[in-house]
Amino acid sequence: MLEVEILRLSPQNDGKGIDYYLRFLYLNYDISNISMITKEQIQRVASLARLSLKEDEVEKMTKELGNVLDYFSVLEQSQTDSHDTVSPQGILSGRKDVAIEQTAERRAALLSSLSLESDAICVPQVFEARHDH
Amino acid sequence: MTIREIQTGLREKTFSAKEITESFLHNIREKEPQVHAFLTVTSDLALQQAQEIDSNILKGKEIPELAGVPYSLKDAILAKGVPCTAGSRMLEHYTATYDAKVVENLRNAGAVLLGKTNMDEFGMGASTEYSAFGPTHNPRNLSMVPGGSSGGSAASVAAQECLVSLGEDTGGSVRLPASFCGVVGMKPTYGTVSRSGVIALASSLDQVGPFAETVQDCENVFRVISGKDEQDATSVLYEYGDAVDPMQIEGLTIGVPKEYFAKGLDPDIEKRVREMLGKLANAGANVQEVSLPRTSEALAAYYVINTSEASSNLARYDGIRYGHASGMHLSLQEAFVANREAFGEEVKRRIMLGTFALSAGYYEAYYKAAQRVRDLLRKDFSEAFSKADVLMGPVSPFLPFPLGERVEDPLAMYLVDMYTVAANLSGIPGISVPIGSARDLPVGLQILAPHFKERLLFSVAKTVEQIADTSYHSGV
Repeated sequence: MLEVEILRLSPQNDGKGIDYYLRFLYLNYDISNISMITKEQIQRVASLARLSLKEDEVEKMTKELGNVLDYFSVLEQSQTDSHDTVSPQGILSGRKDVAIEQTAERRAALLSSLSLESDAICVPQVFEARHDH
Repeated sequence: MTIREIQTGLREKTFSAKEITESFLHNIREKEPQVHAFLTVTSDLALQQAQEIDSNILKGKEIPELAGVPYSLKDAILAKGVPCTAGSRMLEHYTATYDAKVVENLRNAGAVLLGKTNMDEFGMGASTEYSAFGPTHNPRNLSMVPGGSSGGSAASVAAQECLVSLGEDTGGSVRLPASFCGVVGMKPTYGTVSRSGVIALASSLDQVGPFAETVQDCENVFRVISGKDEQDATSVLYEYGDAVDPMQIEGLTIGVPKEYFAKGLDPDIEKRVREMLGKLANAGANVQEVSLPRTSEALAAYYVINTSEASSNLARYDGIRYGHASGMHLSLQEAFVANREAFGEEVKRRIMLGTFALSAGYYEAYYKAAQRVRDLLRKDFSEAFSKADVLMGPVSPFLPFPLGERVEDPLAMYLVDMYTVAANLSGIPGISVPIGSARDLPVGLQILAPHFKERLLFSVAKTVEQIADTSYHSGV
């Protein structure tokens, strides 16, 4: 149905596929200079994010993220178009971190759900013994 | 039924809070097999709360403003002693140990919690299909999605399984499902409602908002949940005050962003929205075209910021601090990686995008560029609001779409948020009000107002509600 909708809205149907029309119709940019992210980059990012991806997932993620990152390139475009002066940090300038004191009740509520040993919180055992020779 | 009718009924003893609760629990039993709006139904807790209210009324105590009002809660918001999954396998066995501030406020006002509603995993999605526990069906047409990410909340109100609901809007997650299900949904100004006890998606964008069948009920819930909370440093001193009257339209200037009517908008939605603008103009409003030139870049900036903040917020789900633990491992790295297998596909995709956008060498091109666009967008809005009192346009370019249509195409799903993300990026309030149907599916009108102008927003929304023709059939 999405495809039908897009073809209905499209001025001509020249068989360029749904991706082309998504960009053309909704995002106003040309798909011709597509910048692909590589499989190696995907694997590196996955390891930074503590995610494991199977071979077919890497394949799929490479294509999907490539598409989205390609769309993100409109951001660079907007930088060169703009003559406005904005703070380099944008909306985040002037942001500061504020530590909040936890209320006694909430602290008690949080602790009541945990198993404690003197001042330490018990978590499930994570490590198994390594059997080296 | 409305909140006012419940108040009157309780006061005049036409019915008890227990009877109202039982009747809505009955609706839930009847409709849930088709709609699947709820992940948890808290029948016992609800009846207990209702009985307390009834016994207080018997004792002659004052009836609080939401006494006996049955509500549902998005499963990203904590209610003490009730499971809270955020739609994820990662939190399948998590039970909340305290009440979110908004839940505490509703409890003190006498509202009765009926259960927790379905959502896209961690709020990531626009259709509720990315829930780990199966999709919700749109009560107006069961083969269509209810919108997302607060789809269960919108559907529960539309199916009359509860009177009001709380959702959470990061990029349209209240307004979009409200429009898809034909109910009212409101996103407050950033900072007016506490985020304490709300599972974070993107902290600089997240804001809790109410759903209801009428603007009046939505306003009533907003008044109760808003205000300063010491536990949320981004919340501000705010007091809504008494209910507003419908706006006298004469002399009101309505700005219509031309970018929201560009190619790509479903022509049948455009027809409905233009019809409403015509009616408002006939009633004396000054309807003017305005421009938000960075609409397309705003969507890109939104997804950069959303995924960047999400990737940091979701780092805590490692199976040790929070979430699913998969057993024993040889190293911490191995344990983290194995435990994080519990995330669904879209969550992994967004963590990957965010991690990439924040990584060395790409930070300037993506994250910093997105923050600049965010800044420029705020300027676009202040320019638009210097010419108009409120802005009006469609909520989404699309009508509710069939289940399964966009699940496999992330970019097609992201486009659904085209007209809603700007309010989150700039922090302004917005509301979706039902204005009729197109191809037998509900259409909502989006109204946007300047920061902290909630009174203006609700007042205009009440007038739109009065003028609108919203007769469409319900699927269930």
